[in-house]
Amino acid sequence: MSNYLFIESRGAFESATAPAFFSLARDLAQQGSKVEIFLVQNGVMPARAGAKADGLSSAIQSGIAVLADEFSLKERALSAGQLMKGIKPAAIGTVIDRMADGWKVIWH
Amino acid sequence: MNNPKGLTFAFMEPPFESARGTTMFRLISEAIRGGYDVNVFAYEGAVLMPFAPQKQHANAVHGRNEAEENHPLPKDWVAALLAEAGRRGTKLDWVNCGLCVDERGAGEAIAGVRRGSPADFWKMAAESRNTLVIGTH
Repeated sequence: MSNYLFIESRGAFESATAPAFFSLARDLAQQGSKVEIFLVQNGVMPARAGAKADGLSSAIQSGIAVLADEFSLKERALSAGQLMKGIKPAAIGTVIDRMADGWKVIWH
Repeated sequence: MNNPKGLTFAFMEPPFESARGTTMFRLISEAIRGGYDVNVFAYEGAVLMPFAPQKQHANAVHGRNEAEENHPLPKDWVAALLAEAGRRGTKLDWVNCGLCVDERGAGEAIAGVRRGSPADFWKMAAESRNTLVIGTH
């Protein structure tokens, strides 16, 4: 089984294909792969507690770890305390770490 | 994989357009700081990132002269990344897609950037530990 890092840069508010991207992440996780989602740029906007963006909540509920780029959060005046339960701020270096560890890293 | 410390990135984002360019530069910077040898294959509009004739300008709307405006230029960020890799003893191999360069008349790249083709990307990816492709919608 491979490990996958899904990088979401837009989110469902901006891209109609974001829910399908999250759906693919869920499918891979359900098949036994280790999957993480890294939100970056406008992709962090649906991470706000109370946001109703398609796909993200169900990804969290399926057990996928969801990380949000600290820099993108700062740019948008979002703090860790304002995020949906299950989403943690993370450094951009997470992407490099996963690449170095051989994860398949996919950008959307 | 010939280089376990090699990471390859391909991207097509033109300068002055979207946050993807900034994220791309942040990823490259982080990889260099982490001691990795970094390959970049810039294609389509991304070949203009290291375009040497980029110039700062004043901004009359802001009421600022050129120095006050201090407009950031992507070519300077590419140069800074090349210099940082040199200081750290790692490698930043920035390859501009030749066909994309010719289409855009973007042949005047800063020093340290070389011209190549998708075959270079294939070789970079094959020799690297991992590859990330950042496309543009």
